[in-house]
Amino acid sequence: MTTLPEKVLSAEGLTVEFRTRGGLVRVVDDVSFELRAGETLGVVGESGSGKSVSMLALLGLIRDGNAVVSGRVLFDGQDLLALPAKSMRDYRGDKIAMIFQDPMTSLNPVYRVGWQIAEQIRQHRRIGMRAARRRAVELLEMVGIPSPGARARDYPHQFSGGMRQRVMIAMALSCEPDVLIADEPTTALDVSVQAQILRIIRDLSARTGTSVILITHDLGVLAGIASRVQVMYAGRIVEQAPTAQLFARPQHPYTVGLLGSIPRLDVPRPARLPSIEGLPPLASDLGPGCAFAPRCPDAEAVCLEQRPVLLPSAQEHFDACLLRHASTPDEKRTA
Amino acid sequence: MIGYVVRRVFSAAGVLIAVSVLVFLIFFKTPGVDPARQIAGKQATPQVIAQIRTDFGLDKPLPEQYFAMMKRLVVDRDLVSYTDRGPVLSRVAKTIPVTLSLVGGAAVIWLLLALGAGTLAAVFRGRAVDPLLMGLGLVGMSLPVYWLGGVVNMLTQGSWHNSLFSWLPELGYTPINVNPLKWFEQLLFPWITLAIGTAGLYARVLRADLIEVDRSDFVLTARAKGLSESRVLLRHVLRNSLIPFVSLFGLDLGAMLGGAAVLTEQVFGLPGVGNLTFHSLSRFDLPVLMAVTLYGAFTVVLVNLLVDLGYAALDPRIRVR
Amino acid sequence: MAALLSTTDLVKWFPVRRNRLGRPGRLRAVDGVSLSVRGGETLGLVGESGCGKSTLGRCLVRLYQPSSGSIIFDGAEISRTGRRGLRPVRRSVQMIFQDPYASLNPRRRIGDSIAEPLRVHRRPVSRADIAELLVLTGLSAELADRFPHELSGGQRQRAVIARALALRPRMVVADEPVSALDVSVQAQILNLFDDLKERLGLTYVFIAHDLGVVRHTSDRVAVMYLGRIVEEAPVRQIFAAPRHPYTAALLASVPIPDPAAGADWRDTTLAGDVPSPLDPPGGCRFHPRCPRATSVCRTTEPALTRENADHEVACHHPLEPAVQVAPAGPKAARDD
Repeated sequence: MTTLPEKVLSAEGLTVEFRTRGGLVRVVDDVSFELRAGETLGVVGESGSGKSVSMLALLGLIRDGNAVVSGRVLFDGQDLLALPAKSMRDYRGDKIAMIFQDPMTSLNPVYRVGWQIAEQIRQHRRIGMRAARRRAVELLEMVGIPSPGARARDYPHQFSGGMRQRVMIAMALSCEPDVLIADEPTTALDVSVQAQILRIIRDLSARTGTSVILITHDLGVLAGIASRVQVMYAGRIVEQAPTAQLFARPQHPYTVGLLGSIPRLDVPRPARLPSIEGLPPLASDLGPGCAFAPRCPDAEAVCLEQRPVLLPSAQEHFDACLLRHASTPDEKRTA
Repeated sequence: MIGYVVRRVFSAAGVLIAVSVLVFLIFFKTPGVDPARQIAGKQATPQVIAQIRTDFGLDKPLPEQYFAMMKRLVVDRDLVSYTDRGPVLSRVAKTIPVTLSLVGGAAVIWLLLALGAGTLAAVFRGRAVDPLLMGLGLVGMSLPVYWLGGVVNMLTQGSWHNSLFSWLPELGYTPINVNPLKWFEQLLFPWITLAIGTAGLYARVLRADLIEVDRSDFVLTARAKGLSESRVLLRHVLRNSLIPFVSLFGLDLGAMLGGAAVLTEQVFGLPGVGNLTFHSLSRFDLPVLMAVTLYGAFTVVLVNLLVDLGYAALDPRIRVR
Repeated sequence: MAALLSTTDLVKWFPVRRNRLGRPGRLRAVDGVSLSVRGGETLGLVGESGCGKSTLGRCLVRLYQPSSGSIIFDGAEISRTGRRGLRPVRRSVQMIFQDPYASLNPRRRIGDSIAEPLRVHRRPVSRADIAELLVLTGLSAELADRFPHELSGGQRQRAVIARALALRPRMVVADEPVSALDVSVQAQILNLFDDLKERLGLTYVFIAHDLGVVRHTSDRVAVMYLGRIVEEAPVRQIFAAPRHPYTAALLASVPIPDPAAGADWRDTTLAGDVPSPLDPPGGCRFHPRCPRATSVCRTTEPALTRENADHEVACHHPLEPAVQVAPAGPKAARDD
């Protein structure tokens, strides 16, 4: 049994609810996961899965007064959710950094990019402006921006989408964080640029030992870069596994359906694309049982009534499906 | 850059010419206008009127009159008023510092008020401060200037003056180089009046823009960088909200410098551009009217140009390379 | 099969004001495209941002008037036709756009939006007709009375498709019809496209940047780069053995959802960014990013030439037909 790298971040029962006129709506429901040093955790889900909201909550970036965040997020010996705002701000951008989906709007249009990177550095380190700018230029070079010295004096609109995302990455890594959360970093980019960005994230995180949480809806992206994957649906985690296992032996019917419905380049073209019936549910419409049951081809009556929990089916492989873990042999489905 | 400014200067000249032609035409198409009779005065005989008509060239065709007037205004600079045959240009020139003093001081006050109130309301939106400030702004916007003037009148001349407010100076204007303290005292209330009326709108606009920009992706990025809330607000949110704010300010400033604050000037007895415009209009004094209108158009065009240059300073995306 | 739609040297440029003191420039979004679509087939049009595929799509349905070149639809030249002449064409060719949230008027009920084309072309409209169209696209008839904001993205896109089919067109140009949808919904809509094609005998021009989607839906694929077609071939050929270096690199960049598939995408990334269409490189437009570029590539623009039956490439040094770029795997060897 190999010793696992140490845990860097762990979420326990992270839950995010919003107060609405119709009552409390649970957008993230009892999410627990671990992030180990140097690994890349992939988080996959469609709209409404809670994948982004959970990470924003983790970082204390949800500013909606109607939001109720509960659970624990352990990092650096602290529970991030219990920290006062100022302490959380000290962690943000320094120990835990986040980059977002749309590079076209994620940088402030009126300041030069070198300045914006330097701003982050100076927020967390006691160094002067000149030193911070020098560091910003080094960072731009690290992410592969040509003529970094000159480009640091340019404004965001003078960069293409792919270049802007590189700037974001440089900025996020400027204080050498322990954790980088990347929320759909390549979704808004062309395919050829997408590959470049993923490569940068992968290479830099390997070099600096930063652990990465990569949020995406594109399973293909994860196959090349994530060591573990968790699949989210309707605010809940439905499956967690090492990447190779998830793709080879998916357990949860949603994962199976998701994998099957992606048109792929490496397999013969099916006559009909297997698809999941129905629509992703609204958080306010969830019943007491399994969130996926209404769309699940294998669902039985019990699925609508009883909420499944994450149970192991193999080493490090967990899924939340009642039928996969049913006790009666003839009810048990094979992998 | 130079080319840009040159083009703007040319288009400004075009605007001014068009305005002058329009003013001219409107004046002479207005029923009841007879400059000759005006100049002659109330007791004039038809012969005197006819003589004046010839003297002033009022019997010539309109285009010829137009060019003659423009020549006297711009080249010879000795255009005279219909009312008293006094020189027009110096009369207009005397009113400019008055309006400048009024609008300049008021602008400083309303900008500060609006920035303060708008920002506070946005930061504390939803809490008590927000509707309170916006409500006050609304009240300020709705108060008619002449009502405020009536109140001020009471304070400076009426019964209250003698008791509580005897320290208030009388209405009027004292140039700053003559008596700075008096200049300030006499302008204080006009400043406040003009500012109250305008600050409310600006505060509302700023508040709305701040709330809008706060939702932007780059503000989320700024927060994710771990910046303090005040830094996020000032450096990131406010900076981006200034652009529509500046545009609005440009419109108002240009118009007011050109005499749009005429009510305030009237109420407080300030002999500014607006006051002069009003009087020349009621007396159908075309030369004066032409001069003040062109001046007004000029200030609008100039301020617009400055605002556009200001945009380029505020928003690098608009810069002409 | 005769071509239902064909274009010859189609060009569409837009005037652009360059920042230097207003010297006008031209954005040549579509810069000499010749293609043809046979009745009953799906032509996939693929490329990255700035390649001109959306502009081309809009020219094909005459939303834009081409700057030059010809478009022949069903035997008739339509590139210069005026509005009145285009009316019958508009019944035969319809377009579907990417964003289902923006394609439907939020103040109109779904049924009214679907009925609109019929009303504009003065065809009879009945509730039954609307219901039939809704059911045809997998929606329930009662959605006719709802507003767009009450529907999900997938449902809205189905409504958009229903509207496009209201006049029973012969051809549908779909511009990124599934890009804005969740993956699970995407599959449903792609299946819907297949079903409708069979039932109604439709011809499609399917514009997308997602290569997997294009491969699934298309019979033939044209790859665009900076306003020109660089390669065109039947789908099987172009994915198994692309001849143009750009196509090969693009295919290699697509992440495969299979960790065992090998590290191809991670190591053969295309260098640099897609250049701006305002200032395309001289010679072959792809030469600055092409690993095979030589001096002739820098000076002369290659023409689209027929390499063998049905496969056209615009390249001075096309890849050899034997080159396989699909990542190694047990299934890749099997014939598609």
